[in-house]
Amino acid sequence: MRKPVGYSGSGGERVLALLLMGVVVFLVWAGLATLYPDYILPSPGVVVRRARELFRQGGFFAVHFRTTLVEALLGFLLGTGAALPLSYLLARHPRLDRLVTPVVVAVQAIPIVALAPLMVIWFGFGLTSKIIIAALTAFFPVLTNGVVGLRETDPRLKEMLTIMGAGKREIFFKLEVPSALPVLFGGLRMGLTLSVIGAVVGEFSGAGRGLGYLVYFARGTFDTALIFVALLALAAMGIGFYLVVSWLEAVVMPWRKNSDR
Amino acid sequence: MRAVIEVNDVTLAFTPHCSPELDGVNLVVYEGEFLCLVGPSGCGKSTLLRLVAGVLTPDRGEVKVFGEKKPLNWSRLSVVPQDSLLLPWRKVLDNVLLPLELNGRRHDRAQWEARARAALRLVNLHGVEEKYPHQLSGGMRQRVALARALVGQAEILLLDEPFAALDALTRSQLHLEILRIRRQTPFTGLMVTHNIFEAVFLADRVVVMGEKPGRILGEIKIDLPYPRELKLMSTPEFAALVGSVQDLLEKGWCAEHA
Repeated sequence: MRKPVGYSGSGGERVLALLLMGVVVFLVWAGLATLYPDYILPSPGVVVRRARELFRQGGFFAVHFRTTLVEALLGFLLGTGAALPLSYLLARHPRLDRLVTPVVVAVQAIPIVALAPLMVIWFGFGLTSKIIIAALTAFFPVLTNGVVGLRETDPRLKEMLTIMGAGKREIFFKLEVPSALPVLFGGLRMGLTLSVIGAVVGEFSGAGRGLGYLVYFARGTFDTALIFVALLALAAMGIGFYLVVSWLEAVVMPWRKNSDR
Repeated sequence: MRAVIEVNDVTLAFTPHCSPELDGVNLVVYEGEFLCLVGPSGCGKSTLLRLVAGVLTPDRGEVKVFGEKKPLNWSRLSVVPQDSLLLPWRKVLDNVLLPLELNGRRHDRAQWEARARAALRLVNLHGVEEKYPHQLSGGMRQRVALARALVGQAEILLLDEPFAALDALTRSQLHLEILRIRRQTPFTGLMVTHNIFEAVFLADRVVVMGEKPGRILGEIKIDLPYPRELKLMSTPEFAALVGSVQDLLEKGWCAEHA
């Protein structure tokens, strides 16, 4: 799985491109903001001022940020913890796969937005319902990629290792797991990002804390600047998660680092 | 001479109503000899190799290695596949010592590493121990695969078109390496190829196979002297032997269309 030509420039080039893109977005935003009142599109300056106000109120914003962060992370861990063993079982036993997969597909087809209110009714307004919603959203991509990844094993490599005298256990740990990692990491990346969405959707359905709750609350008071602050915080969280997964990927799979060469 | 590989009247069909992959195949490989199986693609040469490796079992007939029917462990038999089949997440050294790791008693990794380094020296690879397979050229990867096959001091090497994907010059280099390695550490070799020149250059005996169904058409004894050098290929003796292999192949095709 090589990256297409021209995808990754040198480090400096990438940072430059990123900065340039940031400047463009900022300018377009600032330009458009002059055309509309603040309650529709607040200018960057207004948003920064609102953010400063929030930070001056002590731990107010931090509490909301931390709440969503914890919900997303715990949800992701719960979802992944359930998905990984199941993906192993499904990859190993095709018959079980035929039995379980239709159920999984059916459950996956239900929009999480529609499930969230039910979870709030069952598990309450607090953290638990949000964690479960985040876990549900993270669960499916990890499961699917886990199954696909574990099945990805090159049968010729498997035969080679068998001739070398490898048992089932050795084939699993020395062949199937490492060859599943690239695909699996794709699932983890998606799952982690989706768990943030899950947490926010959960907060929309009833909560007293969290960035999603802030957005919900700000809508009621037409505090559009506050919505922007919350959205930027969510974006930052997403980028942070992305970077963490990328770093982990590089640590766990050092052999893929220079595969462009 | 002791027979180390015996294939007795083996028939194998992957799909029931088609012509079988292999039909009534008999083959004996003697200790220390290098035998090449030549034939068109799809004549079941590789299948025959997998039968000997023990990953397939025949529908009829039997395959014996060292007089035994059960599949052998790595230490006595090893394989060099066409596209090296190295594990991409392992560095070269870890790829080479894999057979030792799978069969050893985990007590002495240092010793495995020493043996892996020795195997890499044997195939003339230096300074690549810490590289990943994708950082090597195709020829170097094949050398690593060869080192991995030699690391356990196997008595039988099964080579499945090991040089087919290489350019002509790299291939010639590796031919010479094979001849040199055989002098240094004798082994019994069974190699599948569709390159007649390669077969005649390397082998003590060339067995020609035909397709649909896969069967043995005949064999040519290669009594060219050792050590062999590349210029041997331009001698009349060499040409005559290539000619007789081609004759056998041709007869197989004529029989098919008759």
